[in-house]
Amino acid sequence: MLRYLTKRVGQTIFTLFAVTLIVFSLGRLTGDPATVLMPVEARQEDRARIMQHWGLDQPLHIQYVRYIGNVLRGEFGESLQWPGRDALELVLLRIGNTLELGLAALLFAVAVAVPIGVFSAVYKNSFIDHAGKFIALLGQSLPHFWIGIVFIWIFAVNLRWLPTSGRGTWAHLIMPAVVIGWFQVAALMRLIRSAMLEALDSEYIKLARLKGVRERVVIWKHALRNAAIVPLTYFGIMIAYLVVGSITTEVVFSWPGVGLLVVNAVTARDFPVVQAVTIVFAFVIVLANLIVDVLYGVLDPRIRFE
Amino acid sequence: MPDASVSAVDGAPTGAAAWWRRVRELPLLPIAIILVVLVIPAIFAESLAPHNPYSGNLRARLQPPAFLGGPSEFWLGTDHQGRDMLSRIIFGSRIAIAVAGAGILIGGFIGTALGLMAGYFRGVTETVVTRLVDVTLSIPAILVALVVAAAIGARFSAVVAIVALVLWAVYARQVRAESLKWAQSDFVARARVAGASHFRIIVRHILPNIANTLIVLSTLQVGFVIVFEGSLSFLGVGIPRPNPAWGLMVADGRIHVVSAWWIAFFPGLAIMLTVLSFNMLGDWLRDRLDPKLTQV
Amino acid sequence: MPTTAAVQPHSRDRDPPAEVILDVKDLRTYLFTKRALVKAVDGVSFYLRRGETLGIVGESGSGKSITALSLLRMEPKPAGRIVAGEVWFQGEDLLRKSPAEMRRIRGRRISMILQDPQTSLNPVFTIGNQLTEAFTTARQGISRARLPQVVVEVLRKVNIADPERRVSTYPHQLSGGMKQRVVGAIAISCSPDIVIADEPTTSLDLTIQAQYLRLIRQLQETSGVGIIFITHDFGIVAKMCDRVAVMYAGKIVEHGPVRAIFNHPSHPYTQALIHSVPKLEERTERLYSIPGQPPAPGEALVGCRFAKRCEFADDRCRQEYPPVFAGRSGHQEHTADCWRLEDPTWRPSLR
Repeated sequence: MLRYLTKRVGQTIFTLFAVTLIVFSLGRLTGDPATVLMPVEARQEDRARIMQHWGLDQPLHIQYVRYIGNVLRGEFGESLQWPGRDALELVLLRIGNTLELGLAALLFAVAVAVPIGVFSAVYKNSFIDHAGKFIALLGQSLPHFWIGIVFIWIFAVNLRWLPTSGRGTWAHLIMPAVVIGWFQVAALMRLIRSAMLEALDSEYIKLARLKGVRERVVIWKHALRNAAIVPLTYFGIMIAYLVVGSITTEVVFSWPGVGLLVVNAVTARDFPVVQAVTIVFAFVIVLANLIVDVLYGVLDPRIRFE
Repeated sequence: MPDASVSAVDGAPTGAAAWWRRVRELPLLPIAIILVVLVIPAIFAESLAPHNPYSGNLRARLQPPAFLGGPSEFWLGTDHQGRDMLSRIIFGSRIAIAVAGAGILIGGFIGTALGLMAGYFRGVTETVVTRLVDVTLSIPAILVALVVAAAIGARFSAVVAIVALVLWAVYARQVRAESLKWAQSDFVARARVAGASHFRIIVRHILPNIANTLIVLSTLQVGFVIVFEGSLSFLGVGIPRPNPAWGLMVADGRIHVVSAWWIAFFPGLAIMLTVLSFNMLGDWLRDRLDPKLTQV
Repeated sequence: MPTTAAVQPHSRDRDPPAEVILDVKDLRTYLFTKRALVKAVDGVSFYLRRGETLGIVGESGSGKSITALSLLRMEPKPAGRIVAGEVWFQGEDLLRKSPAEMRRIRGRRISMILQDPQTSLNPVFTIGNQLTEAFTTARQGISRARLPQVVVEVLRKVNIADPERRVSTYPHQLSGGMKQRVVGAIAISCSPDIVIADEPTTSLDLTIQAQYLRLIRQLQETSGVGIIFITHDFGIVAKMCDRVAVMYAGKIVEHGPVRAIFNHPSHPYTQALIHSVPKLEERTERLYSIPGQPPAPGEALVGCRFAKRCEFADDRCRQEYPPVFAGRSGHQEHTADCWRLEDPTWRPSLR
């Protein structure tokens, strides 16, 4: 377990370095960094301030070391769009909203995918199995940004059941969470189905039935507990998709989260904010992956006692 | 009750009948949709499109589709600049094909080459490639796209580069796993004994064996690329305006959803139909050519 | 192998026969697969007396495991279906029971030990947890507080050292032999009337195998449970069983007390099976193996199933299934299905 942990932590750090390197190079290697980092109409003193903050007069490797130092201290500089506001502060101010949306989407995905996945394995080739396959195919083919607008048109404009956009009540959360979660339902359902099929075919399920255990308990305790381990590995990837989904979906529903912030920042060429968002998102994703792997060890005793 | 008797082998039909039978087995609906929505419009855009996709008539702004009582010349209505939606969607198919084609070719080539090398040479090459694949796959490409767009603005070449950046890793991972298996096969050992060069072994002996995998993988990636490009364009970090990219058109329609839903609806429908068809085609090909390939 | 060297069936055939607790009549379980109809169990009849051990012996694919699972209505779904037969247990036909009633019989009245201990315990629960479940499922009326103690006791019964500590371990932390003991503990936990053991030692190495067999016999002597022992190994049959039923391609071809069958095998297949058991005292150059292959699943079966591989077969054997004849031992329970037994002087012997 300890060796497994050390290895995973090492990989995590490596990935984070790679992220900073990519962001750093994109900031530097696409022509004159100062013009890249600054809007065209920037004042001369802003330009000088930025140059000095990022040490742009130094050689590249020294710049990178300084850059890493800045990143570790959380110094991404001041927002260009909102002068005087720290870029990281802007991100942290809104990350709660994004996490709220992501969590709601995750809950929706799990609540829908687990029962469908389990039932389509238990009743293989039945109506629910075929319906589930169709939902999966559809879910992976619908673009978030479009289905969001279609939802608004149906449920907000025509039926007037839900508010069109913004954040506030529970009702505001429903459409964006469903839109983001929808895509996950497809993948998660397929994974649970195949893991359940494998578990249900195993000898330990046979033994549980031979013990006289109720079919309900056989399925939801013995089989699902084993089958849950496989989709759990997918949770890391899922969190990445939630982040990606949140960016377009926040724009569609004007949800005041980090996604909306970063898209506005890109439009305004507010590079410090874009950088801060990218790095924070990368940290969230990579750390979530690490946590998932540790959880994996806890759920599967074979790894825990390795 | 399933048929208990072992059914006799059907008499093999000949000529046209056999040909027709083979055609009937194809997933005809997805192929038809791909042809009608994507391929034919892209080839014959100039002759098919009734209007100029770039310039509109401001007096004919936000006209509903003809079948909903709009002017008969605009089958799918017009957008906020009075441009014909149908013409824009037809020309948009070219962008979808160009991005998917270029992205898959470049990403697929790089990924296949690195995957083959990793699986064949093992050792340091493999370690480096797999580590790079892990890193690439752990960073959402959309974030990279945002940084690039913030640095150099929205560009066609940037979109293709970012698509290739994601895809190379997907290809490299799959190809490495496959070539690893073939590199240990008897015929590769024989070729080596016969004195074939590494390059020759990889290209002549291993590559043909993973061709099926590459075909299935590429088909399944088309859908992903079209949605991905659409998302980037929708966010304003993909294809620049005023190109008729489907994602951009959905973005234009977003603010008009109350008064003119068709602006966002039809381009998105084109994306959905295309992607759904490619995913169905890919699933069909996977079952036929490469049943082992489940992780994509 | 620490042996009780010579074949010494611990037969009780001199005692007055105990009551029959399980009576299986003409059981048929078919597998309806896409490609073919497989008559996996094709009209099998046998019985088990209280406290007795019945061996069901045959090659893999002979239908012996499906027979065992069918008794508990656990035929492999969805392809498998019991199409005919009766399974009388304590005055009731198990094939007529509802699924819920069946569940109350499984584990409590009839339990089963599966072949592979590596996979038959659930990897994500501790063995204590899995044993406790056996007790709670069966509603033995044991109080929650006493459960841990009961679990430890049953582990001790199957000779697991340090059972207090073992309850909190996971299956992968135990050796194959230990796991199989735990599976055995689960099987006997509710003092069933019958334990079905489906090749319980096949995947264990020889020393552990001998230990496990001794454990089963010891448990039987103390509890008086009836055992149906399924195996492909006639050597084990000789050590463990009172009676034996020899299965081939879904049918029981010979049946009788172990000693009677060992001394007077009457079906050519039985003869061949006994002949293929390696004998320690004889240094045979090559192990005997039966020529040919058992019929493929779904193969159309006419006449005697063994005819194709039988050196005594004639045209009638290939066309008509033989009736039941008395076995050559003369024992009243000894029967065999072979046309050659029409001739009272005939004996199967390998040339």
